[in-house]
Amino acid sequence: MLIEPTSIFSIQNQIPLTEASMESILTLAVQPLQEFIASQTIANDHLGIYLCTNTSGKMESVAFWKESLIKTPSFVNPAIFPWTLPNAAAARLAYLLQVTGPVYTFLGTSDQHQVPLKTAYMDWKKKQIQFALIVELDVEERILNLNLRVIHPEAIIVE
Amino acid sequence: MQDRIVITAYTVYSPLGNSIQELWTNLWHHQSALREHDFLQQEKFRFPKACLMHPYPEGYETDRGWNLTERGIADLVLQAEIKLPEQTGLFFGSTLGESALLEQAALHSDTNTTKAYANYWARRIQAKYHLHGPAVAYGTACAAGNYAIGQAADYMRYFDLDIAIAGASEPFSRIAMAGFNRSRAMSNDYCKPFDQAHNGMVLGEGAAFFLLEKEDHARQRKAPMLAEVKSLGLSCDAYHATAPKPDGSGMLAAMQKALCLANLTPDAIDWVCAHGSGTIASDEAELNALNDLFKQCSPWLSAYKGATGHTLGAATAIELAICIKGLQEQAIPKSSNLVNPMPSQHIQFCTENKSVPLATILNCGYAFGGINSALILSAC
Repeated sequence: MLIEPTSIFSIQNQIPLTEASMESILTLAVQPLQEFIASQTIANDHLGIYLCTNTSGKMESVAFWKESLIKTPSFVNPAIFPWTLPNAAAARLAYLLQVTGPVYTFLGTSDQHQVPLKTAYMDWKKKQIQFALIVELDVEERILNLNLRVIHPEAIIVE
Repeated sequence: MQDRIVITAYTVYSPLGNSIQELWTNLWHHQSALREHDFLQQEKFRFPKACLMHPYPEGYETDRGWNLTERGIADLVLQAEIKLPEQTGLFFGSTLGESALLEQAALHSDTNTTKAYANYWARRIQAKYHLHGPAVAYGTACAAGNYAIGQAADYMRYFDLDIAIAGASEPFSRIAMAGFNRSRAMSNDYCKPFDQAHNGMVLGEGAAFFLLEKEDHARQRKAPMLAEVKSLGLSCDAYHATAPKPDGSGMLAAMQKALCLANLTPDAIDWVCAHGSGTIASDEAELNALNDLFKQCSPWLSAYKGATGHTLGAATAIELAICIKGLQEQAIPKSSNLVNPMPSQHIQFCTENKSVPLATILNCGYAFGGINSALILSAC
């Protein structure tokens, strides 16, 4: 049994994916979080990212291969390639927020065994983090659902 | 005092062999799986060479990752002579998962891609073996194997879990082949990690799985204790989407964290099984990190992506299997295609096979996005 702590910061975004790339959407979406982190004294290497997704990279993989079939693999535009990897979003968040602690991408739905929270708890017990950024990211019907929460892992209660 | 987590069985599927013995023998005899493939030429890949498992089927085999996973775990269960308890945990890693399924979706828009990622494999293994423990899938790219194995061990230490299967699978990916090629990361001849003539990576595929048990659990059922999983160090460069931080400081942080968590100092490390992708940027950054870490001692260093190809999410798992075999044999196979090593003050490069005493090994793996992992394994 695990009891989730109250978020000390939380934002939820539902953004239609049109021509804008995931990269620019994430850049805009995390601005309030950047301001929050800057206002706190959070050491970069003691903040961890725990991102849960079922879809990150899939849309980009299909688009990349579709273009490759038209232009051949030798002439496909490589710019989208890093975004075919499921961990690209977590890595981009780490870059934007300058997080140098542990960065995770969990595949699947976030409620399963509360894995992101349990992992944050373990990292806190190991003295690897002081704050955890819990992220849920999924794309459905070209709508990006992005939910970001900062928690104190010490407030996680394991019974 | 925390429980010791030990590995009691392991299986490997690689382009250089479908068992650890076959893979080890081929590495010991300096073999490489790199071949030119007709289908890659027909599909107009500029560099039509890769390290693929035999035989490689024609067309899109959209369940190749699942097949590797299913076969690997079936072999593991057989080898361990165990009926998996209901609460067995599953910890899997992969980079692109069933890449061929996503490639097929580019041709047929009605393709169901919900089966594309490693969490689907975990759910199917749960169903096949009637398991109800945690099932976790890591999409942490080329570090995914280390994540899965290290996190399984941590999960067992912190939560009530006696036994887990951890590992990673990566079927061949045309998306990765095209992407790395167009990102100028591929070698135009062959992969030679840490050699002065290194000029890029080659792609591979494969899988490796491990049975992890708490020491008491393993002792009770008289299972052979092959190695102990000591610690996993993780860090992020927060620097660039594809390039590592050139000074290697992010990689160094992961190594230092692993040592600190294992309560060890650098002189405890006998052998570094390096990431060694063979690209100039990655090899240089990794060597910078290792030179900074090992200033007072001289561990052996080797890398095997020149022989197996870069198996992406499965790479650190396959390389961990080589580490365990090394502990069993007290030997290190020659680092693949390494003739003239890059200059280094303390690192001893394995330019030949070595029979040396081994107790503690550092297994490193890094990924796009600056994701760094370092796992420490020791003899039981």
